Amino acid sequence: MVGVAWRDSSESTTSSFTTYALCIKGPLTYVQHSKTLAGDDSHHTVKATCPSGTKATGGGIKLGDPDNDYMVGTYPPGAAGWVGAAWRASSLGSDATFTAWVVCAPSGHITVKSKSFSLPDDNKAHVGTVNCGTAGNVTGGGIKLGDPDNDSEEGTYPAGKSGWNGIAARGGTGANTFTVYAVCVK
Amino acid sequence: MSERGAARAQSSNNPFNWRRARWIVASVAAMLTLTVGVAYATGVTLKSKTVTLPNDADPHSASAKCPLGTHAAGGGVKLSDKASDYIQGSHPSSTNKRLW
Repeated sequence: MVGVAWRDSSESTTSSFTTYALCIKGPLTYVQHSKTLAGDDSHHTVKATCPSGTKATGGGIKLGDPDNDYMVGTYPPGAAGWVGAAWRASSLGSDATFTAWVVCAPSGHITVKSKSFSLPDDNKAHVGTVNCGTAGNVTGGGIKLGDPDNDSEEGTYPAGKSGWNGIAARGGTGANTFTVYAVCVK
Repeated sequence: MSERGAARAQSSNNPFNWRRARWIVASVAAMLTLTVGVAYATGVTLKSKTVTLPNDADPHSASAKCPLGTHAAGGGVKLSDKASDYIQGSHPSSTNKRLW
């Protein structure tokens, strides 16, 4: 896999996007969990959970209908799972599906670091970075929007091998926040 | 060697063999622990793949591939035009653990 992106056809030129993978030698287990994504103009979440005795090194989300739905979050809710958040319009008149993925490694020196950033009401992209520091190298990360029904996720990718970047833009009214997560392994 | 002598020799060797076996097991365990720890601490490799994103309102995918002998522990997506583009997914491959 896989990074998936979409560009508006009203644009006159092409653009580009970059997919990143953080790779390790340790024994890893991949878990996915799917559920229905209701077409109701609201965000919904799906969670994949690591087997007992393991912790998440990273995770992600796959949309069942990437032509119409929106990815509005991908983040660890704790040490042993991953949440994907998505949004589907009611005007489509049907539901879809979406899937959360989590990659799990034997419990040990795995630490989740997070930081909340302010998101001004300016409809511009804002970057938040979380560094692993003494917690080791980054193996995964994500972003959680404070207002996923109105804001947009515009980037979630590693800041080298030592941190994670999350990018968000505010579509709602008034300032809000977003949270960036880095999973660090030592 | 007499039968009694052989039995005594075997008896006197047993404690040594047990100690040796325990030493070997402990050494292997220590090496495995050290190896795994070092692999996680220093063995993270970052790979990326940049592709063109057509202006056609269709989803497009790209995969970054981990080196042989490693697997994808996590990954993400970066857009070049954050104002007009959208991330529509970021997840490991369901068929190849080296891909994100």
